[in-house]
Amino acid sequence: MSILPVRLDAITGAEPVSDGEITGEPSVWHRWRHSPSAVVGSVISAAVIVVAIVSVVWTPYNPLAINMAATFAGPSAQHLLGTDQYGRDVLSRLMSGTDATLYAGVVSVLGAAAIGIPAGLYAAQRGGLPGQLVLRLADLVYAFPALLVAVVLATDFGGSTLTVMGAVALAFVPVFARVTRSGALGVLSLDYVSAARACGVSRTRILRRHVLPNIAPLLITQMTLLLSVAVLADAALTYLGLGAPPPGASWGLMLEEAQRYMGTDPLLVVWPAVTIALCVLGFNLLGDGLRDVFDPRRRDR
Amino acid sequence: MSLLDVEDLVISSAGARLVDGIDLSVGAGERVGLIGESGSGKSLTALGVMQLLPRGLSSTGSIRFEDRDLARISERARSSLRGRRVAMVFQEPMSALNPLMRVGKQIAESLTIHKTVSRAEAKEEAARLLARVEIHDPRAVLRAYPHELSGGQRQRVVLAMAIANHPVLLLADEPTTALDVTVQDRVLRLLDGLVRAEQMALLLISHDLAVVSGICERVMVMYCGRVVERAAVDDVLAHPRHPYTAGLVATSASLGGVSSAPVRRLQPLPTIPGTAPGAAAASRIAGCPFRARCGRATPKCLEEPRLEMIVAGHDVACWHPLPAFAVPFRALETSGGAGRTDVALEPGRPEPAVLAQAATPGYEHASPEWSRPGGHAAQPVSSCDDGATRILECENLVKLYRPELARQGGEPPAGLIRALDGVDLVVLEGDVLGIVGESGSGKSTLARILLGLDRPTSGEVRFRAARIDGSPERALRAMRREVQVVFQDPLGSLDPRMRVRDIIAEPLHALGVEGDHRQRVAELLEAVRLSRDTGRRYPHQLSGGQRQRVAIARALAPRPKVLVADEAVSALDVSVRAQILNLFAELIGRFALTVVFISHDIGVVRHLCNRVVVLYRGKVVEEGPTEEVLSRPKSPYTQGLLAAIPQLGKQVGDDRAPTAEAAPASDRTPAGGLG
Amino acid sequence: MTLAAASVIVFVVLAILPGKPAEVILGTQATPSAVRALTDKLGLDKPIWRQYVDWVGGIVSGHLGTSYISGQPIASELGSALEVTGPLVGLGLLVGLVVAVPLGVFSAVRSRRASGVAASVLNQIGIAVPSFVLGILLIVVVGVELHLLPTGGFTGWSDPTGALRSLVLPAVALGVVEGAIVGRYVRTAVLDVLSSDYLRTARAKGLTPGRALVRHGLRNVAVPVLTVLGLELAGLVVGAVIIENVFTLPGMGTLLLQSVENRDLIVVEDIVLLVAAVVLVVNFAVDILYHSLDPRIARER
Ligand code: SF4
Repeated sequence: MSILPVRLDAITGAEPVSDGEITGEPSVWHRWRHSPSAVVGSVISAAVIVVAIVSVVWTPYNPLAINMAATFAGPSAQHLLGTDQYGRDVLSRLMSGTDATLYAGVVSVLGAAAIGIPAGLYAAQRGGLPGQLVLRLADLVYAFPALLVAVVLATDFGGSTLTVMGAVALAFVPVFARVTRSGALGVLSLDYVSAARACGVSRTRILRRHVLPNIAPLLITQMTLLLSVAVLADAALTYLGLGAPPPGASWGLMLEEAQRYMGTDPLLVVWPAVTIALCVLGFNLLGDGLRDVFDPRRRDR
Repeated sequence: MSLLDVEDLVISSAGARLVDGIDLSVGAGERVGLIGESGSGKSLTALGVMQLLPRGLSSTGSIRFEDRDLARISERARSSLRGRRVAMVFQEPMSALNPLMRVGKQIAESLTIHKTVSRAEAKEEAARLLARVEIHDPRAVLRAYPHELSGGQRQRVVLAMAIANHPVLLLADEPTTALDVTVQDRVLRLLDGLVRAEQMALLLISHDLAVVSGICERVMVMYCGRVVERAAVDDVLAHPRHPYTAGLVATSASLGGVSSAPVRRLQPLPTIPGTAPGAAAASRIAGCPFRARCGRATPKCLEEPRLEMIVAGHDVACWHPLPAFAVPFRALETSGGAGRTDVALEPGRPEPAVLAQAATPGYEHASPEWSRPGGHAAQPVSSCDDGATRILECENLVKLYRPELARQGGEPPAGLIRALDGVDLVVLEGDVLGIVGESGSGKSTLARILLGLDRPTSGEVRFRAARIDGSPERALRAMRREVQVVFQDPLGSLDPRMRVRDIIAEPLHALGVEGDHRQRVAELLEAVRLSRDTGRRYPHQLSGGQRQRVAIARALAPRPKVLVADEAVSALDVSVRAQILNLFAELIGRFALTVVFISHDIGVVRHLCNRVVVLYRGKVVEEGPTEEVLSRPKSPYTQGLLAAIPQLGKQVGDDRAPTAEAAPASDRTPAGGLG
Repeated sequence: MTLAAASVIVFVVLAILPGKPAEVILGTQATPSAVRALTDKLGLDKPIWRQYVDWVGGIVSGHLGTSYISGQPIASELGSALEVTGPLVGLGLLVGLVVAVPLGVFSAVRSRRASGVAASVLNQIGIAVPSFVLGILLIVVVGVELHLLPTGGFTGWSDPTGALRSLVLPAVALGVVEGAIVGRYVRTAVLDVLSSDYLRTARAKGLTPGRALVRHGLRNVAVPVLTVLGLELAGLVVGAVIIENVFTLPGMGTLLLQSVENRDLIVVEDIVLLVAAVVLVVNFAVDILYHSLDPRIARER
């Protein structure tokens, strides 16, 4: 796994998303239904989101409740996925971990988008020295993978969810900046932008009315893909002890603890591992599917 | 027994029949043309013959070539025929060559695949082949990468690879469409010469009737994946029997550029109403695919007509073919203006060669396009400066570009490119000024500068005597209201995420035009002959012609005085092009527009413009009244340009070798992507 | 240039932010005078710019400074750590390529058949499993259950077979996942080539599909894949940090995380800068290679 959040195809794919040429082409809905990635991805993603929401109000057990009488219990009717070394219910911990992971992921992706997208638009619109400066800055930040940022932040502040979110968000900013810039440059070079300028439409209005709506699918796809990277990064960083400290329930932490007892109960490793993989797979497929749906030219090649 | 015999070729993709059961035969040494507009399935047919269809397409039917069925034999056996017995030339010479391999190696490969030759021999032979396709410095080209060559050179290289093993059949898919007229002329003559010298059979695929008629003996016309007419070239040109072919012939003839006939500027052109349904949609149409656009259609046409011989050597797929003597193109060319006619003749009255007014409204028209014949031709044909007001002018314009190689994938840079090199231009009120030039002439750069979208490196641009170059956007607002633009690519110039009505209303908002915008949009839709409910649609739901109408409506929205049209009809199919030109002609008269019409197509310029400026490598080489410039060109470049235009029914290379050579002959255009 | 900027950022962020190293080193019970004495000794009383100049000057002349904690020269500590991390990354890259190229090519060439789709699905799952999770699973299966290979620790290179044996599992964990990511790009690149006009030309010349792909496709596939590979190499370095923790290998990652825990600022600074430098250098090298592979952009520079 790489914490380096790169989807290079999205970065270098400067072509703006546009609809196909053929009159009466299938609708977005139609393409969605015919993209296996999109269907499977959205089902998994939806399930993950539902679990996260449910876990806020209800989990089978208190994820933090220790029961030394029932440690390392195997899967049973009471504890569907068994219990851990303190007798805590694994399913409950996984569920509440979903909530934490998703929250951290969404916040960091949105945070990065909030900085990266305007920066990318600026770089595309301005060109010249200011634009180059933004680009160089993005490159610089790009040289620091999320892990390094997290390390630096943890050195200063100690590990916490905030550390993870900050590190991941910072690492994502240049990705957004680049994707936005290349997408915007593509749109800006099109005749309809020239036509709009010839009609006296102002630059900001062109960005708002023409550029943003046309790169929105690109950005939404990117956000979905980055969400999966964020989930990965979150798990890795908490595993390393740079994220939320024990006894909170997070997937990375569960893995770290489970690894210590894998001689006793190997299943404890499997549950969080499968959960992480499923969640990442879901968002990844959804992202790929969205790209298929939004950009039919890429479809099926 | 012909060399190539295709029977019942069907090419389908996900259930849609893109090529719907066509028969085709090419005899040894025979030159056959395949004509059709975009989406007619003509290129797929060629790929089907080669069995090189894109992934996802499949074909059925038999393809007998030299006693073997290409569809039945193994891929290995096919491979050994390809390039050796049957070769192919593709449309896009840039993408057809491997960008990462030197040209010499690619040509040598054509040889080494099929026979054992040493490297040195292969290289020698490659150099000979390059000389054969008239490349001046074969040694240098051998070492070059494709991107270092000009378009014409690349196409010659592709041709060299194709003829490397002396194939008996050559398939050429739009081999000159991506090239400039003068380059096209030279490549066509080369192709013609090679085919004759090698006694190859040729299947030439083109959208351009004139190109095909210059080289081929027989021609097949395709429409919606079907062959609708098949006959000798002269037959088809003189007596087209299928209504679609007749329309094509008439339109091509009237836009054919140089002709001896007097020009009737702005007169309505013959058109075929409507647009061709997409290939996929066509396969769902029952009966004759041309029915929706056909003036001769009867209930009988709900049944699909088969391709049948009506006279010896002339096959037509139509229930009501035109009589043999109807609408020969030469008659059209020489008959009076009022005699111009829509060719969709009615079945009941087949007699007269030239019918007056048989207009058939297409489905996108509120009324026939040119319902007021001659009513809008009154234009001040001013060729001198005095009298009329100068509305837009520029002086000594220079524009330097830094070559953006990676994006253009084009020519090698040599420092800065001079896109414009001291251009002076005056547009008078009421002018319809044509700016003619090939790629690299700087004509599009000029358009952008005139529109205030780009700044010149030096020189002045004045609108109504006020300088506009370098003015801030705010200062340009007054000009923006009066000067509007129509671009080439009708899809690219419309925002795909906006509805048509919002697109048309955009300049109204942006320029703060007062009044009822909805009302105005409705008016504009009517003016460009689009139905009201088009307003609710998105650009991708429209045909190319409809999109261009939307672009024109948007340009007209703020009631401009001046319209700049940059290759506004170049991306359209011939039959649609005529419709849009008629619309232009009508609007010019109706709104008293001053127009700057930029085009590489002299026929179009000749039809619309009263004055013409010829641009070559950023310089004005000739200017004057259209008729004068086009009939008595003074500069050698203009002479060469005019001579290079393919003519209907005129053999390639006929009687014009001297003039063409007089042109500053070079395939090498100064820079890619500037034109 | 970028590297210099990176060094300033690393240093300033680490030095300015809260947490006095001397206090951490001496523990909470330390007397203020002891803290001050240590601060003096470590040179932490000097102005920040002076500390920075010392540090950079040291790096340039090859002295990485001395660890606050162990008092050892950092260069030697890093050196022995690199003996582990270097081979690990190299092996990981090898495994990655062995996975990526066949997987990507196969799933592209067979993209319309069930076997190709299956390869794609496998690929997606590979991306979704984080390398450290795969590492833990490998430990459980291969180490704990099957007792085939060592699951942790490192014996040093004096015993080459032993050293290699202990690197096998980490390298697989690292490489398989990176390989899956790169495999997607290989697939896209191959699909692009398969639908290209020049491949059609090659076949029109008489090359069989397989030979056409080999002769005209490979280099054209290599160009985009190479760019990704460079970025993924950076990902491997980062991944190695985590994997070392999973397998308790005494590499750079372990050193880094220990130093974070101990607030050994200088070590953290050096390692972070080193990784950032590796990322930048790799990107630069890829850029150069890219230009030499593609004659179209070779002239641009
Ligand atoms: S007359 Fe009938 S069959 Fe002939 S082209 Fe027209 S619609 Fe088709």
